[in-house]
Amino acid sequence: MKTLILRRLTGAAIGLFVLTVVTFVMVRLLPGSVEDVLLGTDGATPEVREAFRAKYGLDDPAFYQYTKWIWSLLQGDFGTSIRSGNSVSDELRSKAPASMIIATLAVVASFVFSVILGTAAALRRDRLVDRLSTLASIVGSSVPDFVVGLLLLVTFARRFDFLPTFGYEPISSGLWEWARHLLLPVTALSLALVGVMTRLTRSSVLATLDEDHVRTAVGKGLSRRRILTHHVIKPSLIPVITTAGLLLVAVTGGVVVVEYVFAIPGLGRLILDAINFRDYPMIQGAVLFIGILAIVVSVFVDLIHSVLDPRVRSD
Amino acid sequence: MSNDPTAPLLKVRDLRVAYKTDHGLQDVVHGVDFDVYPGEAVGIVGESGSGKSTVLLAAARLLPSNARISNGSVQLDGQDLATLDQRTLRTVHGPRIGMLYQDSLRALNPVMKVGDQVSEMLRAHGYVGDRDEKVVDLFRSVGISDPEGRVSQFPHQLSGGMRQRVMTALSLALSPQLLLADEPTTALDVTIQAQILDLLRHSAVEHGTATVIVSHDLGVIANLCNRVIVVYAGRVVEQGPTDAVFADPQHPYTAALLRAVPRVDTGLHRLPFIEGQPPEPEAMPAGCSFEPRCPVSISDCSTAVPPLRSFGPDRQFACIRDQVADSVAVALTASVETGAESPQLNESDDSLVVIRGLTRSFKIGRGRNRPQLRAVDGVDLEIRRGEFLGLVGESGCGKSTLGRLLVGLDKADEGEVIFNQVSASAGNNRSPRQMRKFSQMVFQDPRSSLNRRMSVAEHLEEALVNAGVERSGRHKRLLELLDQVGLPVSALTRLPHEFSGGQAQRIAIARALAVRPSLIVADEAVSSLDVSVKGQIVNLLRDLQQELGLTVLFISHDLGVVRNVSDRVAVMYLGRIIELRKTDELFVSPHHPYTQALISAVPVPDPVVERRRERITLQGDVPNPSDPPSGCRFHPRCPVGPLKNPDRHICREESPELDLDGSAAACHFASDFAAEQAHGS
Repeated sequence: MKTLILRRLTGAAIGLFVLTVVTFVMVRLLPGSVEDVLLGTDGATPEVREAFRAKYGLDDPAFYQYTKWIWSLLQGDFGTSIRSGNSVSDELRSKAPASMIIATLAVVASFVFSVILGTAAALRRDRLVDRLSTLASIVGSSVPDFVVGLLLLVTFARRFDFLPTFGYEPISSGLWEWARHLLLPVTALSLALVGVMTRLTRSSVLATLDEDHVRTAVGKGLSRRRILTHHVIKPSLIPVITTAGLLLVAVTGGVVVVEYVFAIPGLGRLILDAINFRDYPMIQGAVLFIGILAIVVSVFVDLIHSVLDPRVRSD
Repeated sequence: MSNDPTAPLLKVRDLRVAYKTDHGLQDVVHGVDFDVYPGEAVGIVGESGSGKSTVLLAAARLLPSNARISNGSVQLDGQDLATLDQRTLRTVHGPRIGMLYQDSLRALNPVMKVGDQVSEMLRAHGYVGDRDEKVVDLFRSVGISDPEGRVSQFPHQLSGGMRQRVMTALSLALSPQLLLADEPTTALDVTIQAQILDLLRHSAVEHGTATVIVSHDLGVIANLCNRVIVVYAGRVVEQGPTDAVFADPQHPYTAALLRAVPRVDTGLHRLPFIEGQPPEPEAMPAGCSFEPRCPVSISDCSTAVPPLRSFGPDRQFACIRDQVADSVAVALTASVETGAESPQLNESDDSLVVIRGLTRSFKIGRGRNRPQLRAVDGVDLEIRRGEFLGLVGESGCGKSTLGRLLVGLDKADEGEVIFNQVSASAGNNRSPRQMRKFSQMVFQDPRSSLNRRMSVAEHLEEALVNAGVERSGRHKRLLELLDQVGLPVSALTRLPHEFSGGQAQRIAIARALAVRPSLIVADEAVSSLDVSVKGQIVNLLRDLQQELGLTVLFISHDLGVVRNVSDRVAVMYLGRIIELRKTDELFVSPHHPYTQALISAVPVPDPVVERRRERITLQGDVPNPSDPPSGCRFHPRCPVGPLKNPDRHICREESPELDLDGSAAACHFASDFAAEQAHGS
């Protein structure tokens, strides 16, 4: 276990380093520049532009900029957003929680639904439940999430005036308010995830049902429930959990559309705005943040993995 | 529950099982009847596809979801299981029927501790008392060392033998009336098989359990069962007491099967076999299903399915002819004797391949200090030109790795291989491509070693292109190859899956021959074939060896086959060759105690011999190859080593050399051992 963690940490460090280089280079390859956006392309004199670049250290050689960034990162300083003047960490602190909560809730909720639905479909293979769940999965994963989002908005928020149409309330403003604001975006996001994970659960359970050890369990005279929980579902969950972890990371940084539809100030919008603005420090900081998140999640998934599957542990 | 020993415990009547296929239901078991009496051991023997396992699983109501009992009854103590509802069935599984399967790695739940897998069954059936204690007791009773520690291990952490002991503990946990075992020792090495056979015999008696054992291995049946049921193409063709059936079979199939089994205690130089192959379920003959292969069939045989008729008070067989089985056996024996009288024992000292200090190690696990597994550890071996050399050993002994090194599929770390006086040493390796012009491999499973999307012609043509045969000469050579392996020209356009296992292996052999190699390495090439067709392929290899002057390295765990085809035999243990001698000498008077134990562990298809034979059961498992014992690697299991004779320190301290001029066995006490044996017998 100790070597496993050590190996993961080394891998994480290398991964993050590569990520900083790639982000740094990519950001600078973007056409246009922050002064173009801020000062306009024709208004400012070259002197003003020079002064602006000098102020933010953008006239330094690229390598110097990079080392400076890394040096401050190592001291826990993510830099300062050019656009807002706030520190990147503050920006992340105010925007990231909404996205992370929405993404986590969506992944957890769809995981639970998928396991139930996928198992039911596998156990009643080619029967009504299976066909319906297949159909629902295909629809769920092919309809874009903003369409689902808009539909939900129109129905529940506009027509029935039952839920708020937009915004995000932190949990400090009350559990009920918090939940009310989250319900629609989480649902919109979940539908596609349920589609993917239900199919995966179904095929995984079907494969397990064919395995010899399930026949052994039946031959031991165990109850149907015991066979399902301990001998079928548990071993079937392993690939589903891996996928859920990957989806969690993908969804956290990629819920831009849903954030727009529901007017939630989240991580996706933060990054999109930063890119439009060529706000280099902000883009770099946000991407790095998602990178760290990805590593934390994957370590977590590995831990769950090793609890579920002893064969992984003894490696 | 009745305790009347004269009333059958299990009564199977007209059992029919059908599988769902693309073309509707397909019957695979066509009306099987048999009885099992309390406390007895019944063997069901047959070849693959005969339906023997299906019968067993149907009797236990554990058929896969695509199969179902279409007719008949399975009465356990008067209760019909065939029509029982799932809820009641749960009370039968465990306390009344215990199940034992072939592949314990797959039959146990990989993500649950083995102790829990037994304990949950105790709980499901309302066991009162300390379950943990009971599990430990059960584990101890089946010979699991350190049972307290083992209960919290997972299946993959145990050796194959230990896992099969866990399965046995599981199947007997609730002292069932009936134990149903499906090929319980097939996946095990012979020395471990011997341990499990002993265990099964004693445990069944201890628990008063009647046993039904399904096996393709007539030796296992002879060893374990007092009654035997022979099935062929989904029907019972003969049944009766094992002694009587084995000594005097009545059905031609039984007689032929018994003759075709390569026995470790008799040496021929070819193997008898039954022409043809069993019928496919969708193409069953109208009459007797063995008729197309039967050498004594008459026209009446193909009109109706022969009914089982009585032969004496306790035997039955399904053949309309009387007293023909003997002639079948005689004919089969004769076919072998005329086939190769006085095989040319290759006495020449002309070496084709000289192997010196060959070593191949693999790093296992992760990390800088990961252990090294020396699969082949300093092997010296000379393969003589034109000989048929058998290479035997248990799984993990390195025999396959050695074979792969000889065909350039793997690279040695140290040592050299000299082909025809041209060296391919570890440092200065001849390219694998060059090596493969010289030596070719035939693998175990032809279906997976052939590309399923390439026709036979494409396979052979590819090999010929590789061999550098000009386009103009290819077709002629192609036909020549087909002829050599005994395939019809019509085979060319067909795909591998259209052939039976034996026929597909012929394609693999033809492909190997395409480059006109000097050496063929056959790695378990007949191990997955049925007894009745095994001989076809072995004899083909033997014929090719003689006709083309080939040299064959025949790698196998099956000592019976090796005994009957090889000129010389090399025995491997933990990466080293420990004995190398002429076949008959080695099998009659082995010089190495391991060789002797190995031979004595193989059951022979003769219940009388099985009862009389003194078996040397080795203790424990093969040691972990990444941490081999010091000195002689066999000493921790050796029946004549320091275990028995504490003064033999040398076994622990010094590794014995293989002295080819003397005893030809790598044992410090080989000569003493040989003398003891000669004295004892």
